[in-house]
Amino acid sequence: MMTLREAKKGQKLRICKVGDICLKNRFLEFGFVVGREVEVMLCGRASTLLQLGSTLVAIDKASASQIFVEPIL
Amino acid sequence: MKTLVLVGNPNTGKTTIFNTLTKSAQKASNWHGVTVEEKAKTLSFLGEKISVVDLPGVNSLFASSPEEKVTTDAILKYSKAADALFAIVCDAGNLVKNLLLAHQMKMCGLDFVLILNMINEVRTDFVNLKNVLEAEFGSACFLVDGRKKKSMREVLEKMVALAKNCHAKFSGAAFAKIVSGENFEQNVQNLFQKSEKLLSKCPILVKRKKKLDAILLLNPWVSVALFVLVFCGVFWIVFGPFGLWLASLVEKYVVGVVFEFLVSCAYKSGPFLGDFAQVVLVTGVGSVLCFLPQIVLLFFLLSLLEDVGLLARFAYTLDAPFRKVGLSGRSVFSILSGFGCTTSAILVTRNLENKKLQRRTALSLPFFGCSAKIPILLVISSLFFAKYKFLCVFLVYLISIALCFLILFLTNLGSRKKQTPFLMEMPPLRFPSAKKIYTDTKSNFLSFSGRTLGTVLLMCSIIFFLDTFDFSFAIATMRGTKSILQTLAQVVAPIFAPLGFGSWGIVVALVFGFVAKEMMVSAFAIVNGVALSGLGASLVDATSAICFDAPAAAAFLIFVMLFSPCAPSLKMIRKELGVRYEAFCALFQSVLAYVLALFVHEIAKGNLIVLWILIAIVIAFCLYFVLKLHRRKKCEVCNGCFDRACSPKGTNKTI
Repeated sequence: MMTLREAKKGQKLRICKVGDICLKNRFLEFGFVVGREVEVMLCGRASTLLQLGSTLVAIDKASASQIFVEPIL
Repeated sequence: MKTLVLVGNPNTGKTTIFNTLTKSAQKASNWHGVTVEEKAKTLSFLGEKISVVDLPGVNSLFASSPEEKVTTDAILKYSKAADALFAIVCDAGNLVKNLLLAHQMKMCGLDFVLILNMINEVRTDFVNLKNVLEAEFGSACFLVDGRKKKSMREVLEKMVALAKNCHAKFSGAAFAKIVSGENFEQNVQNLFQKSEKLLSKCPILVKRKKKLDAILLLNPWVSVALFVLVFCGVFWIVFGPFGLWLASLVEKYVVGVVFEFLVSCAYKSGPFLGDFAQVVLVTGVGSVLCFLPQIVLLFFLLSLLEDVGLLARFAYTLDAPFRKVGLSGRSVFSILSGFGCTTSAILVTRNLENKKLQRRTALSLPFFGCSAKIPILLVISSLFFAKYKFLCVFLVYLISIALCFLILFLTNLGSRKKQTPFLMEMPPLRFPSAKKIYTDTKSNFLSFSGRTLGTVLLMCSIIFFLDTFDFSFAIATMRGTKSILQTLAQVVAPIFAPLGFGSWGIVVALVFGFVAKEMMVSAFAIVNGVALSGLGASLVDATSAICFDAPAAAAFLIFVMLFSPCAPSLKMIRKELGVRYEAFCALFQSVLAYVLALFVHEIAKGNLIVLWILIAIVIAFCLYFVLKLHRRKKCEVCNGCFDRACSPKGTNKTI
């Protein structure tokens, strides 16, 4: 298990746990829930761009470090 | 009266549907958070009065921002009306997320219909999808393209038939539980799983331009370069030869022919009426009207950028640099609206994550010159810096924006490690719709011209009477006395003498500019006796008469750009942030404008000592903020931020 912040560009991952982040409910309602698949599209300096379902979602690095994921083999 | 309430996730096309149904021109755009207030319109349909309500977008019933609170409050309000039917608008390409709200509303016992919008962007078995959703939610489901009138009319007919005896099973307790966020994580997780399972019966293929996104977003350098290029391009088109050519056409044909004809007709009725028409129509309204094409051009280009979906990409790109100054990537939406109108841009700040961010963004908006400042900036720069007028206006904007970011950076030094979570859904890139851009530009044009020309006409009439009569209500020029306006303005004029424009005529322009920025050029032209035909020559005569030289012009440009926002903007700041911030904004902007204009005037006159004093002040300010930062206490809770609100009293330690 690793955090979304550590993930590399192009990796496909499954969300395992959403940690204690600020505005956690907002992240949950965006679809950051356990079991969903995400694909890392871009790792920027301040934020990460993800493909979540059929939408592109941008999140900041601090929040990304509180979302725990595991690679999909 | 039956009511149809449009709810749904942000950026699913609720306002587009609202506009199609009600033939309105509410602002709809390809980014999240355009609608921040409840909007309603009544229409007659098949002999019946129907009220259609558009609400700000929400992802779920749990509200975490002011505009989401507006929606949850409205849902609660309409749940008590038996003839109010909810229509949940969903993006057909993002149904898993969009159905969360539908599930929650079903849990509360609310009656609704599902409107699957943007079906032209997906490929699926639509009949199967419709059946699956209708079976799950027990409510009607409509597949639409919100921009097409024909399909929306059929949907409206069916919805009106369904809008009776609604919400009989509404449970206030279930609603309160969801709104409070109780057991939210578990509930949301279950509902997402339910939606995924449901939609696995009917796979949806989304047709969106991912390759273009890859070029725009996956390379930050391309994105930043494109941003700079696009905005320099917008400035060049608006203020460059094309914009000036459009302005000259209006001056030649509308003002030079139509208005002059009206004035000649007025002169036939009498000299006083003729003078009134000349001053109010040609000099007052005409001087604003000449710049209307450039303002419309700016609205058109901003609509084009919004419709493509580029603004959201720029918001993502600019999130990192904006965080350094205490803003968020999402502040970009307000800032870019601010180039059009500061008042509406302040309203857009409601979609920001927290109050501090909203406050910082709203207070920075007056630095991004609104379109109403364009006429006066162009007149003064064409007059004194004719060869470099485009460069001059661009430089004034650049100085103002740079100053804004410097102030934001310095005031953010103390809490630089406190981060606001950034979470933004990227809207799909779309080919711009000519019809939508035309509608947006038309609506902006009508709103601007309606508001502006009405105000200008009224204010010019006031100026004419105050400038014509003295305190004994006799014509001032005939008796050789001072007019009411001149007497009053001369009391204030000495304040501006150090800036080089201590003439009463300029004071009048500034005072009327406080009421509405677009009034400045008209007031300036009227009180200085400038005729619009041959604007340049007339202004040269007028300005030489009032000793308005090039250094004073440079100081005036800076002052106009920075000084207090107009009265409607201040009123909006009071509404959003409170009276304290309204007073702060007016005072801070005015003092800053005065001080900076003073420096510019002295430096332009060749007084280099002032330049050194200015540099010393900037360095002293920077040192003060750096020292203040080092003396502040670091928080033990998160071992990083400097925010007092983060840790309880007594748990801070000095670095």
